[in-house]
Amino acid sequence: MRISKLAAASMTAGFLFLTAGGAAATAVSASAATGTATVTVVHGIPNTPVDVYANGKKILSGFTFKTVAGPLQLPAGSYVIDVRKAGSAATSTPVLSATEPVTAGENATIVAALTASGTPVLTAFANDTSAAGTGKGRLVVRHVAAAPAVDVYAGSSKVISGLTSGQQQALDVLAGTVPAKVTLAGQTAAVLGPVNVPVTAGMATVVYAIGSAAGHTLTAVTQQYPLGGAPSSAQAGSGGLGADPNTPVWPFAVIGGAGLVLITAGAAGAARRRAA
Amino acid sequence: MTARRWRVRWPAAALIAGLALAGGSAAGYALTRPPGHDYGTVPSSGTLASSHSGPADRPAATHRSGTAEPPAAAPAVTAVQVPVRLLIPAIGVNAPVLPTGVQAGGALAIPPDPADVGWWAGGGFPGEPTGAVVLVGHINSAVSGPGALLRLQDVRPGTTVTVTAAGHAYRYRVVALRAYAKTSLPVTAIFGQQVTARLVVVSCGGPFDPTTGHYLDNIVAYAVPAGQLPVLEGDDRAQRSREQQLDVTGRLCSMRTRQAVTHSANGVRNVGGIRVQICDVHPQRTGLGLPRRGNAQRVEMLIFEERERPDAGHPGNLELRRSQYAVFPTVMVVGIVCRRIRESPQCDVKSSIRPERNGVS
Repeated sequence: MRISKLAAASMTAGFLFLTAGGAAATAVSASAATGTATVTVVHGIPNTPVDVYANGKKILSGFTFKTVAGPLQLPAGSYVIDVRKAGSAATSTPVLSATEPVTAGENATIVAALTASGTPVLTAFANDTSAAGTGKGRLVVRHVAAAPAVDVYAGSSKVISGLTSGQQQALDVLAGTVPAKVTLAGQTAAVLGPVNVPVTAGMATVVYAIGSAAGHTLTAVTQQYPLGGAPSSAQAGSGGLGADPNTPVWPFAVIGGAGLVLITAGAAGAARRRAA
Repeated sequence: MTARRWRVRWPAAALIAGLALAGGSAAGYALTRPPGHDYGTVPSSGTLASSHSGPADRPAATHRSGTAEPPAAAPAVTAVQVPVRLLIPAIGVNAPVLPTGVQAGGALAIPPDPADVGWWAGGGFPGEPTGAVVLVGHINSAVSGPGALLRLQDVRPGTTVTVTAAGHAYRYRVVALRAYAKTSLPVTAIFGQQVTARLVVVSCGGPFDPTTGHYLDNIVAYAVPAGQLPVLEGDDRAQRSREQQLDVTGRLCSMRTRQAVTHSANGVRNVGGIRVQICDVHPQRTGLGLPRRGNAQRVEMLIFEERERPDAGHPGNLELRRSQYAVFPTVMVVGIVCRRIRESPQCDVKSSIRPERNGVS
């Protein structure tokens, strides 16, 4: 009960933050053109402000829990990512360290998170940018919290079962608002939420469950990134209000349609005549 | 006999007439379709020349025969800027920008609210040396009426387009406008990213086909960078609040350096820079109308209302307004406080000013 309450409160705070900074949390993929990778960084370790280094260069300063940084454009290559306590010397021993190869055009998210048992860890997720169907977006749930396996509900239906820490699951859904809640696997009481998660057509919304159940810091942050490759069309109007009044299209459609009727009738007549 | 002859000939006659009508209608549409408002040269969409090496270019990653060698010790990590708002004062556009992506089949998703403009988040970012920032907006909606880009076809060469992002306002200058039949959209010119920095604004237009509920054309405006300036004081919040678009003409009557950062009595933060006073300001509500053509000292700006006392009922209740930016013939201004005192409105410009420059600065 206590967990649930605290979680709900901090979740609200997390989402308020994201509402304000949501746009900044959008990752991108046209980087292939420039030989860069798109990288987003998520901070999911409570009470641990950090500085993040890539190949020895500080790329994020005073990075705090529940923050989503990026999208960053990184030239393709291999990166040694070091995470140090905020303000400590660049030469000090990192809290976390990992080597991440990134390729041009890749879209990835690196999460500084906790394992199920509460050990800090760097986890890299490749962001699936394949297109979703018309009018659909992708909802991705990533469990990167010190918590047991969870179930995820959209409204009253369970959409993800038994997701364990370090794992993710995705589903394509019609754009709109998904009232989502997270429960411990097999249970019904929410440990996170319910919260309204916006799903936008052509975009992925990633929900990260972060923090620690034991430490009462379970919360969620979101990231959005675009789906699909290069566009080939854009339908940007449906009302006729902006139509060029000088060129109504319907008379031509009517005349053309009449022509088609005559062609059909003529062909049918000819066929009938041949048959006769 | 007569009947028999008729029966022999009518199918052929009908075929001929039908072909003439069908072909003629298509040709008729093609011929009477207005030449459109096309102008300008679409910026080259070829691949970037390898010799292109402006100082702003990102250093290329060092690759050697396929091995993933670490880039230089200090990687050029760029925190890109995500557009949040589109401003085209000349055609009354002041719209929120939301990221969007591509759906199966290749159609760029467009925000459901026609008042919003979509930004293809898989495309370019403002302020980057390369790539096309692609914005797409409704001309209108059958359900909700006019869309954000109802009048895109009215932009002229040189029209200023501003895209704001966190901390910056990126200015672009329109260089070309095209109406393309949707059936033959030059997707590389519009969506291609192997280009020097540009802005591409896409809407619909041309004839409306009531049978499909869609327009036959896409209207596409191409613009090139024309400088950027910092946006101060959480303009985003101001933008999202009640806002009003005004066109202001006036006389630049004083201009002096002002360095202090203070809080005035009405709570407005004055940021160091140059203080400019514009005299004889005549605000005019423009709505969707064209802004007033002014003289050389015309101030083109969007004013965001931040009234401390809403609807103060006294004459000239332009109580306190702050603009996000304004453009003078030679300087750019960020943050304007207008106070209309009785019948003589005055604007104090209390923010940083920098000379207009060409290109991304």
